[in-house]
Amino acid sequence: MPQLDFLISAATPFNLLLAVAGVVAGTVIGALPGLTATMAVAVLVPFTFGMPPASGLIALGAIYTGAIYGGAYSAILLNTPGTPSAIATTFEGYPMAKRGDGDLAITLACIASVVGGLVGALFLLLLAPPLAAVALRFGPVEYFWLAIFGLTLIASLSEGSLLKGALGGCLGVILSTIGTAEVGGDIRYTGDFKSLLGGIEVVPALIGLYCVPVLIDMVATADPHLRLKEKLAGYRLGEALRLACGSKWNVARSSLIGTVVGILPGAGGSIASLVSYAEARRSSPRSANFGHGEPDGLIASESANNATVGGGLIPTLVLGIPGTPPDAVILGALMVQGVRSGPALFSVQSQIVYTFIYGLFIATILMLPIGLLIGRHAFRSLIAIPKAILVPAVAFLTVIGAYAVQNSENDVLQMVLLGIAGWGLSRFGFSASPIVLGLILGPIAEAGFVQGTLIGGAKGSVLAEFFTRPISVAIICLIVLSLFYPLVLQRKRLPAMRRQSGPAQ
Amino acid sequence: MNRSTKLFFAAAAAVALAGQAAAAYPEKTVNYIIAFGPGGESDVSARLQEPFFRKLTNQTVAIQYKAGAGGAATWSQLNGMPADGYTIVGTNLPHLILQPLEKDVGYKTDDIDTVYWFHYTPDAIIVPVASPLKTLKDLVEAAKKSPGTITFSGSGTNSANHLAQRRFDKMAGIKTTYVPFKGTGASNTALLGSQVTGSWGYTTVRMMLGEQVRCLAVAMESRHPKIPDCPTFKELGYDLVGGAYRGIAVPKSTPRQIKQQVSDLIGKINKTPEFVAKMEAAGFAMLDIDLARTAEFMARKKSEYEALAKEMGIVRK
Amino acid sequence: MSGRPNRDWRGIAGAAGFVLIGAAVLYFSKDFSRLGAVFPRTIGWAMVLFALACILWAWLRPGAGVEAAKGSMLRRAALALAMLGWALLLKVVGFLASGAVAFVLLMLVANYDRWTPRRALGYLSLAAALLGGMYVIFRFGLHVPLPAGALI
Repeated sequence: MPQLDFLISAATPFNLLLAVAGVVAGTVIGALPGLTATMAVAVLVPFTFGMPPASGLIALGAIYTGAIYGGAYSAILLNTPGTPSAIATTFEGYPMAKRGDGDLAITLACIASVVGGLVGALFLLLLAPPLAAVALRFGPVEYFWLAIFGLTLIASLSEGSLLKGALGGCLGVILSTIGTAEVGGDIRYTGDFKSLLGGIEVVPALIGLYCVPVLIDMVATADPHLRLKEKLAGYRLGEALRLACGSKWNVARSSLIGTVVGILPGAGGSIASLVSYAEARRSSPRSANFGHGEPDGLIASESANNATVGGGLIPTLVLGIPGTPPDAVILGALMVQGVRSGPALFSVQSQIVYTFIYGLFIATILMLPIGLLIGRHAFRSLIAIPKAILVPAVAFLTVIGAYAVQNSENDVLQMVLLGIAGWGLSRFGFSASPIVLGLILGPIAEAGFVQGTLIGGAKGSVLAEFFTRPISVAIICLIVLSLFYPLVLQRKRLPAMRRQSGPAQ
Repeated sequence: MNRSTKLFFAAAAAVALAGQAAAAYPEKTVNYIIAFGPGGESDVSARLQEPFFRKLTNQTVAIQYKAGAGGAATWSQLNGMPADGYTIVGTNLPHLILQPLEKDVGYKTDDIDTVYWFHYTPDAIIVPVASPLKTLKDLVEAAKKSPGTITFSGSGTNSANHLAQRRFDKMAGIKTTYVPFKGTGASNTALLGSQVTGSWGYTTVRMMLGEQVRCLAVAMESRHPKIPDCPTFKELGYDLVGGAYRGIAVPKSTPRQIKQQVSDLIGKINKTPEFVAKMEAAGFAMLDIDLARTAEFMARKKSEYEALAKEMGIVRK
Repeated sequence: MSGRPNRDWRGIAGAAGFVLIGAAVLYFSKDFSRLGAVFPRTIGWAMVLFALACILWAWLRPGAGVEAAKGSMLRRAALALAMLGWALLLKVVGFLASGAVAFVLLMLVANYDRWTPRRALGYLSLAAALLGGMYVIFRFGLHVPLPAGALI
C-alpha cells in the first residue's frame, strides 16, 4: 500500500533527525519574543535546498510547528506572545504563572499544541482538496465580516470594561492605517516622518505593547518575577493530562476552529486562537475564572494555533496560495525546488506530499517529549535568574527581535515608544491586547471593505454584496450573538446573584 | 635595485593588487534585500538565483525581506546602506518610476542605481478555467455590453497590474473595474474563488495556478515558450508589451569597479542555462540589461511610463 | 454615604484623551481620497462615541478603576529612558556599543541586592557572554545585519 511506503519514508533516520532538529530550533526561536515563526522558517529555507524536497519540507514543517508552540513560553512567563498566534495564550497563561502554576501552564500548552497540531495535520491528510474549495468561497466581504467579528470579540473579552476594550481596538485600527494605504495609495497619518511610510509593523508593536510594560513593572519592586506554588518536582504531567482530558470537547472544538481559520488564506494563528478562546469562555461552566488563570482558556488558545499549521498548508499545497505567512515562505521554497503546487501535487507528486504530511505528524508527536523537556528547563532557568540579569536580557531580546523583522532601527524606536505608551495606557485602565488585535485586524477589515465596495459597485449593489452572501450572513449572526451574549449572561446571572445574597440580608 | 626593477615590482604589485581586488569580490556573505514580503515574484527569482550564486562564488547570499510602502520603504533607505557591494537590493519597474511621480516617497527615480535588469514578468489576463470568457474578444465584447461590471483583481494600486489594466482599457475602448489586493497571493485567491471576473497578473501566475486558470493574452513580443496556447496582445491587434521588470541595485556611492563586478556576477548567473530553464519554467521572461546599458534602458522606460502616468492622471504634485 | 463617590477618574481622563485622538484622526483625514478616508473616518467617529460613552459610564457608575502603581517610579522611569536611549543610539554608535551600555544600565536599575565585587564581576561577565553570544548567533548564524554605526 503506497500510504505505508510514504509513512516509512517519512520515518527514515535522516528525516527523523530533521524533524527533531526542526522542532527544537523552532521551539527555541518561537520562544524568543520578537522572533516569529515566519522568520524561523525563512532563515532555515536555504539549508533545505541541498536536500530532497520531501526532507526539506519536513524540516520546514517541523520548525514551523515548533515555533508556534514555542510562542507560548514567553506568553506564559513574560506576558509577551512569542509569535502573534500566542496572544490569546497570555490571557490565561500569565495569570497562571503569576499564581505559581507556570510549570503546569507550560505542560498544558505542550499537550494542547500537540493535539491541535495532530488534528490540523489529519485534516491536511484526509480532506485537503474539498477544504481548499471551501476556503475559496471566502471573498473580500467575508474577510471583512470576519475581521469585524474578531474586533467585537476583543471588546467582549475585555476584562472589566467593554468600552475601554472597544477604545483600545479602535486605537489599534487607527495605528494600522498609518502609512501608505494598500488600496488607493494615500499616505495617512505619517506626520511627514519618512520612517512611518511603511506603517507600524505588527511584531515590534506586539513586543512593545506587551513586553515593555512587564519590564517597567519588573524593576519597580524587589519581588521575584514569578514564584512556584509547589516545589519544582516533575512536570505536573499527570495533573495536566487530567485537566486536558476533562476538557476534551474544548480541545476538539478549538483544534477544529484552528484548522478552519488556518484554511483561510490571510487569517492566521492570532485570529484562530482568539476565536477559540472566546468560544471556550462562552461555553465553559467556569467562565468567571477566565482572565484569572483558567486552564481551559490556555488549552483553547494553544490547540487552535497549532492546528493552523496543518490547516494553513491546505490552500498552500492544493491551490498554491499561502494560508499563513510562514506558508508563503514554504511555497517559495517549493517553487525553487521545482515542486508545483496544485491538485496535481496530490496525484502526480504524491510521494513528496504524503511523505511530508507523515513527517509533519511525526514532528508533532515528537514535540511532546521535546517540548516538555525544553519547557521544564526554560521554566527552571527563568525562575532562577535574578532580575538584575533577567531584565536586561529580555530587553535585549526585545530590541533584537524588533530590529530583526525588517532590519530597521526605526522599528526598535517604535517598539520602545509604543511600549512606554502602552504602560501609560494600562495605568488608565486600557490593556494591550485590544490595541494589538486592532492593529492586526484593521488592515484585513479595511481591505475587505474597500474591495467589497469596488466589487459590489461593479455588480450593481454594494449593500447586496455585503449583506446577502450566505457565509457573510452566518458571520454577521455570530457577531450579533457575540455582542448580545454578555448581556444575556448578565441577565441570567442577576436573579441567581440576588437569590444568593437574599437570605443574608 | 635599479629604477626599472623597482618599476617592474611596482607594476607587478599593482597588477596583483588589482587582480586581488577583482578576484576577491565577493569574499563574504552578500546581503540581498527584497523590498517585498516573502513568497512573491521578487522572492522566488532571488531564491532561484541563490544556488547559482553560491556555485559561482563559493559565498552565500543572505536573503532578507524589508517590505513596506510597496517597496519605497527599502528604496528610500538604499543610499544609506553600506556601499561595498555586500548589500544588494532588488528593484522593480514600474514602481521605481511611478512612485516618486505620484507623491513624496523618500527617493527620486535617479537616486536608485540599478546595475542589472535580469528579468521581467509579462502582464497577462487570467480567468478561472470555468469562466464563460474563452478569448480576449469575448472579454472585450462583454465589457462593451456592460461597462464597469467586469472586475479584475491585481496586486497593489498604481502597480504594473493596475497600469496594464488602464492601458488596455484605453486601447480597447472599454471600462473595467480594477480591485487592488495586497499581493499576488490575495489576488490569486480572489481569482480562483471567482470573486472577480478575472485577474491582471503575470505569466508567473499562470504557471503557478496551472490547470485551474486560463490565460487570455500575454504582453510579450512572441508567445512564452512555456505557455504556447496563450496568444500575445500584439497578435490580437493590441500593441501591449510589458510587465514588471526586476533588477539588482547597489547604493549610489558604490565604487564603479564594484558595480561592474556585481553586474558581471548577476550577468553570469543570468546566462547559466540551468538558471534560465528554471526561470522560464516558473513563467519569468529573461532580460540581460547590464551595467553598460541600464542608463539607456531607464531613460527609455522613464519616458514611456511618464507619458502613461500623465495620461492616466496619476501624476500629482 | 460619606465623602465623594469613588469614580474611575483615571478612566475618565483616559477616555477624554481618546476623544481628542478621535478628533485628530477625523481632522487629519480631510486630505484623503474617498476610498482612503472611509475607514479612518468611521473609526474616528466610533472612537469619539465610545470615549464619550465611557466617560458617561464611569461618571454614573462609581468604581475605583485601576489602582495606583506600587513600587519605585524612579526605577521605572530609568528603565524607560534607558531603552529609549538604546533605540535612539542604535544607529549612531552601533549594536554592541549601545547594547553594552544599555545592558549595564538596566542591570543597575533592576538590581535590588547588595553590590559585592563578586556579584558585580559575575553579572558583568554574564552580560558580556550574553551580548557576545547573541551577537554571534544573530550576525553569523541567522544573517541579520546588526546596526554598524560609528563604533560597532
